[in-house]
Amino acid sequence: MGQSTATAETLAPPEVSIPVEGRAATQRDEGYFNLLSYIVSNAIAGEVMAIENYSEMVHLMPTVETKIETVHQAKEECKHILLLSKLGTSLEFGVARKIVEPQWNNIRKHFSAAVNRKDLPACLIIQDLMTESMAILLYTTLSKESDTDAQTAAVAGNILKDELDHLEIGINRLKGLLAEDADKVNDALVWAHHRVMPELFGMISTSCFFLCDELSLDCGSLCLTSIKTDIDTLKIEALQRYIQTLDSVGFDPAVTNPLIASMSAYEGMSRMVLGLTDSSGAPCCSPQAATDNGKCC
Amino acid sequence: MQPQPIPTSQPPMQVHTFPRSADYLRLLSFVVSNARTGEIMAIENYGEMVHLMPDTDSKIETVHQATEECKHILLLEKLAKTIGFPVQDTMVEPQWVNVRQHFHEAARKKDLPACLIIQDLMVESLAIGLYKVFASAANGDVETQTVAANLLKDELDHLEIGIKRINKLMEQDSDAVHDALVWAHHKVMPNLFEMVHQACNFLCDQHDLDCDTVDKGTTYIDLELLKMASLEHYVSMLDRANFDVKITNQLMASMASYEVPGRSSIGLDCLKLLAVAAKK
Repeated sequence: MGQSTATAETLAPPEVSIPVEGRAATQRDEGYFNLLSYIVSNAIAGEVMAIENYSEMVHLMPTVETKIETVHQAKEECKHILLLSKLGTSLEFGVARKIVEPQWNNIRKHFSAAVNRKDLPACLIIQDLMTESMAILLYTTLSKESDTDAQTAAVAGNILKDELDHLEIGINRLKGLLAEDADKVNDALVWAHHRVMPELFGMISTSCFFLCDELSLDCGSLCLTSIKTDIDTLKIEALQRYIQTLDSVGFDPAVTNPLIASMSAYEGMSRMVLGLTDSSGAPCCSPQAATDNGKCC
Repeated sequence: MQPQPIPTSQPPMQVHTFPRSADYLRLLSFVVSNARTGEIMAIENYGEMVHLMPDTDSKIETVHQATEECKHILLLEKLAKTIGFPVQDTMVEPQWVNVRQHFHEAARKKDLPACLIIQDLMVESLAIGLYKVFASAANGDVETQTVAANLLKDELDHLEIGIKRINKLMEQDSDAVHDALVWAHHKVMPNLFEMVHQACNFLCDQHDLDCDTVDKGTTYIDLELLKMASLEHYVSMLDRANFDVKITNQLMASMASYEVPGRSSIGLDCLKLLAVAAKK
């Protein structure tokens, strides 16, 4: 029962300064706002899942201080929901303030299964590493003012700082657990990777199951060129960020390389994108022989 | 955590206008150690409840409640440091583990009414009773009084939130909520009651302190008052939450069996209060 080093002041919400210029000032077309509606609604769903995950993880944390830190992470995710909802109101686009797409519920289900097993490494890997890595990709994309608008970029930039902090916290926590029991953490990674990564990568898309109906949008009309990117670019960036995150924790490449190779089975993830084949499709090397970043071409 | 020695007097470097005896410091150590454990349990309970809440706003509200309980842990630790008494595992009563286990069971069953009843109503009633005693104007220990008043305000808010949530759930399915009440009452209240009722015995047996009334130096603090305050809050909370009197009367009556024969007649007092409430 260690004493906490946090203070009541550190739990107080920081002031968030976001420019509020309104929809007209952005000089963007209807397609841009429809895309924002889709992306921001999915982001809110991810944040709702995050507050559930962090909250459910509190009782697994080993000390009072880490329990408080985890509640604080949940609180920051709550703040993100409020900021994203406010962005929708300010720029006059619709947002769904709940989980709509089934992939989020699937990830939640896997996370809860890990909680029920008291598998703290799996919880940290799912939430702090995998989900936060995707969140960082999303908010990095939206925070480029030249590709979006001033208000969206400011909100995304603000949230991005918190998500980078959460990733850092997760990396540090997992380094500690790896030092205690590397086999257990590696097993958790293998399990979580196969359960969660297909769901997360499946959401790098402009199609949906129910969200467009919920928002009264035509999913077919959504175009990522509105924010100067495309699906393939996002998938490559997501993959690079995931590999970088795994490397930051210090996972053994003998464990991570086969996991990265397995991602070629995901829709739209060719072996060439993964760096496992050359342009002719010929394999460069086996996953076990790949470099530390999982590539050999 | 290594047990820290209980000081025989307050540290000499701190100047207080309020004199604190060694027994009073020991009592504070006991109360704050237990209150802190209750707050740690609360953040775990609220944490487990978030995903059961029906909409995003109530999830956010529940995270906010957990955040407030975190603040309480820090305030209690700061109070202990300021006044100069230890927060100790050996001071913590064992029943907290049982209460937490019952909550966890309810959360696993996805029984939201039971979770709300245990945390928002039962535990918060105990917390309100505790902090009210220490926040009262009669308490000359200003540092303790200020912290208790601060915590009391949040706990009263949490009780209000709990009552509002339970009322809403009762509109949807009154039977399920009453079943949850009966289950939670029989699982949790004996533990909470025992914790409060046996506090003096626990202190006597474990820490060689008779604290039925502890001399603070200028005035006395009465743990009997704490017992009454907590139970009265529980009874009035059941009344305010609009539970069916046919059910709550039986629950109140059952509490008479918790008491050690020959001690105070809390069970009967509760029934008297309930009878008055029923007449209203």
